[in-house]
Amino acid sequence: MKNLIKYLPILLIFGLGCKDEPKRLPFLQMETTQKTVNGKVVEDTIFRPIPAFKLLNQDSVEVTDKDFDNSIYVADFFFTTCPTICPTMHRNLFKVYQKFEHNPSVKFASHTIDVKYDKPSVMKAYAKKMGIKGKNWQFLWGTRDQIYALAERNYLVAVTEDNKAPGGFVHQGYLILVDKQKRIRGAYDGTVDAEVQKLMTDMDILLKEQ
Amino acid sequence: MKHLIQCLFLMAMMVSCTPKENNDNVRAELMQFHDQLMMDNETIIGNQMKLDTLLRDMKGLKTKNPAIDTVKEKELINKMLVRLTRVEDQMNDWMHNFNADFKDPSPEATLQYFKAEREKIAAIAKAYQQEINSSNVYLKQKK
Repeated sequence: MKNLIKYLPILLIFGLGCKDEPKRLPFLQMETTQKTVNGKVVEDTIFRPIPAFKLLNQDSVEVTDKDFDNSIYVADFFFTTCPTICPTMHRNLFKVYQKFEHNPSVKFASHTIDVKYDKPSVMKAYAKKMGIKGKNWQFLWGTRDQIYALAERNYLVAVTEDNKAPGGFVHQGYLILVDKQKRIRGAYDGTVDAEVQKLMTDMDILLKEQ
Repeated sequence: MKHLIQCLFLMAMMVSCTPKENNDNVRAELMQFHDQLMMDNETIIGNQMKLDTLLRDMKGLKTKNPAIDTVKEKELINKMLVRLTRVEDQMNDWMHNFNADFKDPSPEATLQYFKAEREKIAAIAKAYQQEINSSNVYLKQKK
């Protein structure tokens, strides 16, 4: 008994220290560099967040990056007349939407890559057909240059870096998870059920992150 | 004569073993064309954007290549852009008009529909390759 009391503080410290750290998702666009501070070389971490943007949504209302402040969101690239990848991706994403439909901290940003045909009214009809209500899921229209710059230089850079095959990522059904500071925290193949499940699990983790 | 009969028999076997075209396999082939063309579409758009950038900076182009005639070069780039836009529009028009769920009461008519669409998209794929190759060659020269 005496020994137990003697070692109790150590056991408590050990027990608390071994408590599971809450899981954190990785940062997909993170660079570590070195800089000199007060004569000392220190490591500096730079995150590449999604830059400011201004697009139109399915109601022809202007939507900017500010509309996604204080929320996590899933971004994708699609077009309404796609016969193969996009229907599968959006059917799967709809399951994610249903899970988080009433959570104001979760949003969805689907960007059309068929800027000539997919005007806001076309995307409005598409969203209605899918059964989307409310304003959490934005279908976004922009110029060709705007959309492809967002896709190739921002959202899909992590996918491009991982994949050694040349070209063709915008129309591959990727779902990109973005945190409240607009940093990319995950990339998932939206046509694969297991990856969509992982996306949902990761969204739960991200929502708990401080 | 015996050899001739054996050869004819073998040929008949080969022909009968070749899978017959049906809606599923023709449609699957069509979708493969489509998916490949969507990847190629990114190259088409990327090249359009690079050509646009060159057009906006003819001064820079002249500095790098003093021998070029900027008027002729502009004309060449614009023609290339028109051709790239034309093939992109052909693909977009095909996609907007294609009915992936087409079904006629006659299975033969359904098959004919998908076969005809396959021919159309095969022609677009050929045009895509031609324009991608020629714009790639031009852009490589201007690097």
